[in-house]
Amino acid sequence: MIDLLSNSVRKRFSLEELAAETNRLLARMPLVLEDGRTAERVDGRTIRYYQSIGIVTKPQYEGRQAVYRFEHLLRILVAKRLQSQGYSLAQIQSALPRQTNEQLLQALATLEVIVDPVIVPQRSQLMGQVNAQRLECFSIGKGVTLIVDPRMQRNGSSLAQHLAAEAAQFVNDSPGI
Amino acid sequence: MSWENRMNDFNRRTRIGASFTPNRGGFRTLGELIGLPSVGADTLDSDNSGGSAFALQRVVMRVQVTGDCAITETEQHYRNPCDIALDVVHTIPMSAAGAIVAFEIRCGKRWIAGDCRTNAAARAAFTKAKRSAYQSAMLDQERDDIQTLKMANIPPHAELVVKLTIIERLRVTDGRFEIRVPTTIGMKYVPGIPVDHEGTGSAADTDQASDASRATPIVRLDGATPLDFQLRLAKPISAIEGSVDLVCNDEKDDTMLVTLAQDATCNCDVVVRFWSREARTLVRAYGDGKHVMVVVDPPAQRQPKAEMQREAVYLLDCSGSMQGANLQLAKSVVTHSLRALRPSDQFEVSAFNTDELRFSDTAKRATSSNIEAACTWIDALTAGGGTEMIAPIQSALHAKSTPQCIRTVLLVTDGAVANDAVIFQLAATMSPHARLYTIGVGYAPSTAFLSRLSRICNGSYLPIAPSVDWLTEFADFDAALVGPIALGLSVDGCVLPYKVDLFAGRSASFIIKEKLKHVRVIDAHGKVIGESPVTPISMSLGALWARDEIMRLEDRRAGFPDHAADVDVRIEDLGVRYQLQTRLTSFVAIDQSKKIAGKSIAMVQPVDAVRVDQQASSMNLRVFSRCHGSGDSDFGDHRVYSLADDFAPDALLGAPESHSITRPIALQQVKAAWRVLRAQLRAQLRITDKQNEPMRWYLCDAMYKLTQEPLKASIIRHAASQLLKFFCDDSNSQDSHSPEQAAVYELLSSLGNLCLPVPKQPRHHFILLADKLWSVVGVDLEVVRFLRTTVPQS
Repeated sequence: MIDLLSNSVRKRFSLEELAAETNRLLARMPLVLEDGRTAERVDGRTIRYYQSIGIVTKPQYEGRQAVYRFEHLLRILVAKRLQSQGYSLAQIQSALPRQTNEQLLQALATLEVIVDPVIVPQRSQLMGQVNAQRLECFSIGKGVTLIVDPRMQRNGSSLAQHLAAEAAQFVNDSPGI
Repeated sequence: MSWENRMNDFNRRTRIGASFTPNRGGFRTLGELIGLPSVGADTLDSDNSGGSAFALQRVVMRVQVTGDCAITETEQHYRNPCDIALDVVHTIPMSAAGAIVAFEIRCGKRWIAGDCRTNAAARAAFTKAKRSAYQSAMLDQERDDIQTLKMANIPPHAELVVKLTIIERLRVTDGRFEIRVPTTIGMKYVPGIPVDHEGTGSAADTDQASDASRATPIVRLDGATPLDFQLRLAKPISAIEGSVDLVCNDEKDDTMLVTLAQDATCNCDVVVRFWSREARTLVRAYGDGKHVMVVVDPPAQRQPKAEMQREAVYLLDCSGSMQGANLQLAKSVVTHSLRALRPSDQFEVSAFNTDELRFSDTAKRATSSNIEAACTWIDALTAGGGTEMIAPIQSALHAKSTPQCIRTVLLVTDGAVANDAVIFQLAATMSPHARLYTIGVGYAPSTAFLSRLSRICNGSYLPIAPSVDWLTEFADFDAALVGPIALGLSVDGCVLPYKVDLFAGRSASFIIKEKLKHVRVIDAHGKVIGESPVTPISMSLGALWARDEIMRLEDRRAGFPDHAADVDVRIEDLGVRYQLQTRLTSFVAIDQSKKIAGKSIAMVQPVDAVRVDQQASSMNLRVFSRCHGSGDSDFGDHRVYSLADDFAPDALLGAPESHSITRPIALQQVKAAWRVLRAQLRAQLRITDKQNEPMRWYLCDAMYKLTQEPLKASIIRHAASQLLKFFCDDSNSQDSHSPEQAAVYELLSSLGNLCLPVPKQPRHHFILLADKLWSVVGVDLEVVRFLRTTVPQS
């Protein structure tokens, strides 16, 4: 996913362009949860709202035009990822502004090795009541994910590392789309 | 390509220079990597308050009352939660008429006093100290009641305490002293087109409000800052009351110590009112040897004003920020004032949010039928939308009054706007056909804005909060609307270069630079109002005198910005000479004892959300639908829910529909509250086992779902059918149902019928059914009442 971001590092965006770019990248991110509470799509209003609560830093203005850059994109992406994991905006508000851009990139890159847990909703028959159960997901290689049920296998991460080492010769690691 | 190579390639291509180390051991989520607690399996629980995640830990206030003045020492305690040095920007509220006379910081054990310099000098010193890695702090004034506190280089995991000393006069009304200490800043509607975003606030600077980004601080979505408040009064006190719960203790040194209840937070103005049992004279004077402060009370019995006809104009703010008890209070105030008019008077009523709504195009006579019609019109108003104040004020002040009439304009609002400057200019340039009086409603009205506006228009200002018995306060204020009872007060033998008027119900005061032992107060015609000897006071009055001067200069500048240059020079001079915080002078304090090495990170400290009460009224509540497409995060142009604050049935929290984003907090609290409520409902109904008590389980979820979603026919149908299915499964035939079961069955059928697309299904029908259902199932009446008020509108 870090590769996806590298194209956007030196770009400038208007508000609409930033929303479009965010949606494009969110769609490409692996296994992000859709639990009905958090949509994957953002629009201009969402971004302005994030700005007003301090999650996204303010844009620069050139004349009357707001100009957004990589750090804004980065923060929106991180905020959306955190939301999809079930964090509330209040929690994100208390943690995200303290992080430097480098720390956020570091955190995102770290997830290259270990992917965020996927919360698999099991929709019961009753009116969308959601029972959440946590599965662990590990990236074995590019586009290859290992899903482990932690109730049955405790050492998912070490298993994943072993498998990743073994699978490296089979996994096609050419640059993505 | 291995992971390391990929990261190096990323760094090379982007030149960002981040350091990447893979997280080989353990399994951590993005949130945990950033420092958030891990999310449990039940991700739908309410939020972590995160109180210590921000820099501000608590606020300590110590207030001492001396004579007619109060000295407040405010300590803001900050702590750096990061591993590197921290720079914090915090927008803090200030008393509108207070004089900030001292500024100190404490890093470690020593207090370091700051001094007040011109803005340029203070900023240069602060920037230099910041670059030199010294701990420093600076106070920058944005408005009379908003200061920006900037701190630099707080060491990792260390504390920094900032202490401000403020002197102000108490507000005295009919023998009652009032101290008002603001603890947070309310959100403001920012009109205009965004042009820049210089400050750290939530709104951008616009063409109408060029400092909006510095005057609209970011609001905390969750949690609040603890407040430690203490007030010391000299006895004897005959009565005391406050806007929040007070605890009063008599002390040994013949004073009374007043504190707040345990869980006080910075979410509203702390207002304490007390009546002194000391005999009071009409005129009081205090002297410090160089200045004399004179306080004049209005006479107790009010002489009825000459029978002049009144033309009363009412402007009612019904924007989104007035949601809830604020608007109800405003409506009560206006209807009360309307009913006090005489039949020979005339009136006009307008309401405004984004648009202006008028009761009638022309002024109406105050006959009982007209007044009742107006009251009905007012009752039907709902809160929502932005606050475009300019047009209604313009039309109210511009219109010529009928001859032989006194035209008074009463503006009832919470003052939550950011384009103060434009409104002041407008008000000052209107020909003074009318006096404008302002009433600030809410827990944190914009006192500075509204009091200045009323001063510019020769009126006066009254703040009232929903929790207070406003009737007595307003009765005096209303009586004062006809005009002052004495004009042009001054001290015999001295010339006062400005006008001081005496209004009914409220004391007037002024400070003169004289050494006197005795004062005699006269009005503009030379008539003696009263006399008094000058009581020595230990506090220095020079700062208060200078503060008054600066306030008058700012009033003049607000109305006539062409004279800004002269006014600014004088304000700057006064600020430096008397060491006062002003718009052009700033306090700065630097600790040069040690350098804090390493990089630093900047953090903006958000302010607490203002407390909002909403009285339960099932008829007037507007229930909003969730923004389509997303949950907590998005803020669409749809409405959001009203519901319980801290889950008590009688207190509800609302959020407005607005063109600009003014109330994001409400949605978060709404969602959090609903989650907890559902858990409580389950506990209430003792639902533990879905197998054994299916009906209760599904019922709970059904009601929860029904009140969560907008009234979608499909959902009700689904809920009703589910309930019916399980209900009927319990027994074979309908005849064997108990009376209770029959009632529930009937209710469920009606619920199913409700979802037919009948356009005007009466809402209270649903409420009655819900009532019946709940009473059968046996839920606590409190919960029933609460749910009733949140039933969505059909």
